[in-house]
Amino acid sequence: MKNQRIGIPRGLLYYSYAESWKLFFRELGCEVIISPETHADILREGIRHATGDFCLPVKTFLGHVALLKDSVDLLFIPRYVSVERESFMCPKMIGLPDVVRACFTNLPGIVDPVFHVKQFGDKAIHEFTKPIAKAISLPHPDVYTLFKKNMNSGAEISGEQHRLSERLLSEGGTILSSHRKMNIGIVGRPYLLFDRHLSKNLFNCIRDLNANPIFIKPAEPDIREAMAVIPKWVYWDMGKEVVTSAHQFFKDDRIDGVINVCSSTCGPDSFTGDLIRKRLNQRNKPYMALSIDEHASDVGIQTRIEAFIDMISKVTA
Amino acid sequence: MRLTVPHMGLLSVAYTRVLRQHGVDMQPPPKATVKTLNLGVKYSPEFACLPFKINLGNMMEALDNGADAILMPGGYGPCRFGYYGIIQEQILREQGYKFTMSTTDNPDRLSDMIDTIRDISQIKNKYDGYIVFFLILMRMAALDKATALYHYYKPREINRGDTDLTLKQAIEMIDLADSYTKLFRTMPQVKKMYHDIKIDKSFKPVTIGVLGEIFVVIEPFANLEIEKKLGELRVEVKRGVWLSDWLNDRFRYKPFRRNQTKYATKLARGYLNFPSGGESIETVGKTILFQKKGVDGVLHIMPFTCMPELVASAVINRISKDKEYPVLSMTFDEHVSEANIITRLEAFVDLLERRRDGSVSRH
Ligand code: SF4
Repeated sequence: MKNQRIGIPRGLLYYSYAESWKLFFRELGCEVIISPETHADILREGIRHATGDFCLPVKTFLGHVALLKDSVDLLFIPRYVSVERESFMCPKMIGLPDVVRACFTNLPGIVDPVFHVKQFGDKAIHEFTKPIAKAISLPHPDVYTLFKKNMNSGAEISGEQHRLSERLLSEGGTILSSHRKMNIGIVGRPYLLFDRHLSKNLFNCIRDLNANPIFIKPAEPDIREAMAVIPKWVYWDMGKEVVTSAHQFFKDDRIDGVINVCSSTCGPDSFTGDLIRKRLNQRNKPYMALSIDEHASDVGIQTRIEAFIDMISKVTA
Repeated sequence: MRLTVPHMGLLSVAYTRVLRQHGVDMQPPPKATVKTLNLGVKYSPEFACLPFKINLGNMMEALDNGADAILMPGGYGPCRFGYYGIIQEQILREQGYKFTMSTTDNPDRLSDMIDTIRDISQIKNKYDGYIVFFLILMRMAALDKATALYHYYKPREINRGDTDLTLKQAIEMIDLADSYTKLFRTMPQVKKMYHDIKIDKSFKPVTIGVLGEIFVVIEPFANLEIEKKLGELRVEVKRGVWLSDWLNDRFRYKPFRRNQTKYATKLARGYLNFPSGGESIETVGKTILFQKKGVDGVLHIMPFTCMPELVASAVINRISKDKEYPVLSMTFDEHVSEANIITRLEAFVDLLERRRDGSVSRH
């Protein structure tokens, strides 16, 4: 069946894989509908539908589902269990499609293929594309080939993310906008950092204070290097990246301080935050954990960032 | 080396005596108290889960008492448990404690467990290692059995407190049974002791299935003795999570016992289609099982910010709506108040009683 309207909620893994998903579904002949950027109403809806104490990103995701569900034929909510052999996604991510089903009534169809490299190894993509082919009634081999082709198109940080963060370490090691005084390394999960509503426009806020916000997406060798000096392999897919970026900032003298943006009740972040804090303390590199929840105000966040940057300039002055 | 292992329900009763016999200098942490919890809370990351905090408090108290080696089970996710040991070690070192820490990162592999036992004890031969390990598992199963009997007798007892005393005695007796033969002889005696409790045979208690994250379910200190409280409200507890089942699913020391995780996975289909770590699949599968079996309601307990159980709680909430089945979820952390727990339990039991007697409609 072609011309189906596939809805993709703009939350969680959207910020890591959306580019490839979009290309993939378009090439399959589907119409891809994506919910708008998060705004206050979306968040409110999400909180209303969530049961219990879900973290902010999951609540936000539910808000996007609420917005999309009545205007699409199918919702695409893949179940990413592990994207490589050594690690897992967090349990809420693994249970996401079931959580969505549990929190709503009157849902359209949900396509929830499982991506589980740890279990399926080389056949992971094969397993992943099977239910998709079934849901849109296309032959599985075609769907498989297409997905494989587009898979890495989202692996680099997206254009939007580029615009928001300055890049360091590339281009012969020069900082792109060196006209500013200070370089602040930012670590955190893409779905929190690059959702402008949730992160309260963090990047601009830092820039307004005359500092460069630096975000890097670590590459495979960097991850291996960082994990070798950490007491134990960090077995969360994104947690591992957070720890790796922090490690790179730790090594780099041009970085004046590090901000770790996390959602306040995030499980993995509560642990990786502790690892990072300890490492940066060893080198006396200023560190701040900026935890965000639905009560965080723009002003509150700004004040904390200001205070942090102020503190650094006093230390380095 | 004086070895300590953080508490988890009655687990330390199961292994301490046996390992001592084989030359391990065991120093179990003192029983957890408010002081333990306060210590744990003070030094833990704010949003670490309750089991982490209690474990850490256990470790600190045991080290203060002279232990110098810690054994902490590990693993590789997806829940945070596998990383506990690393963060705990870091915190303890920052506090200036001196000790060695070993984590058994592969608790699913029997040979790893046996090797760990051989490493710390004076057992030379691998075969002896197995014998000792399975004895510990059998002792754990016996302790669980004694607890299950407690659940049955407690709501029916005529003299308040009889059953609590019996459980205490049963634990002591099983603790002393340090060989297969003795254990074999002890169990009928334990059953007889329970049988001798004076009970009201005609009383049909309300039944509540207790499910959730394993530590909070089996550690009375963590759940503020919730099973005892239910018993005192004259409720029969049907517990869905047992340490011995958990061990049996991994090590098959009771070959004819059904694998509980697989069973729960089958039951959960349609609601939770993929285990999302921890006991999530047991919670969902067994909620459905309890509903089918006519258990009056389910009490779901978990630590605050526990990721797998949050997923489970959302899902069983739906089951509760779909099947009009009463489910109560409770989160535990250092802030829960006893009074609040009791009020909520009473209200829930009250609802179940009225529902059973037909004085509330099912809508
Ligand atoms: S990783 Fe953290 S923030 Fe993301 S869904 Fe899991 S608990 Fe929530």
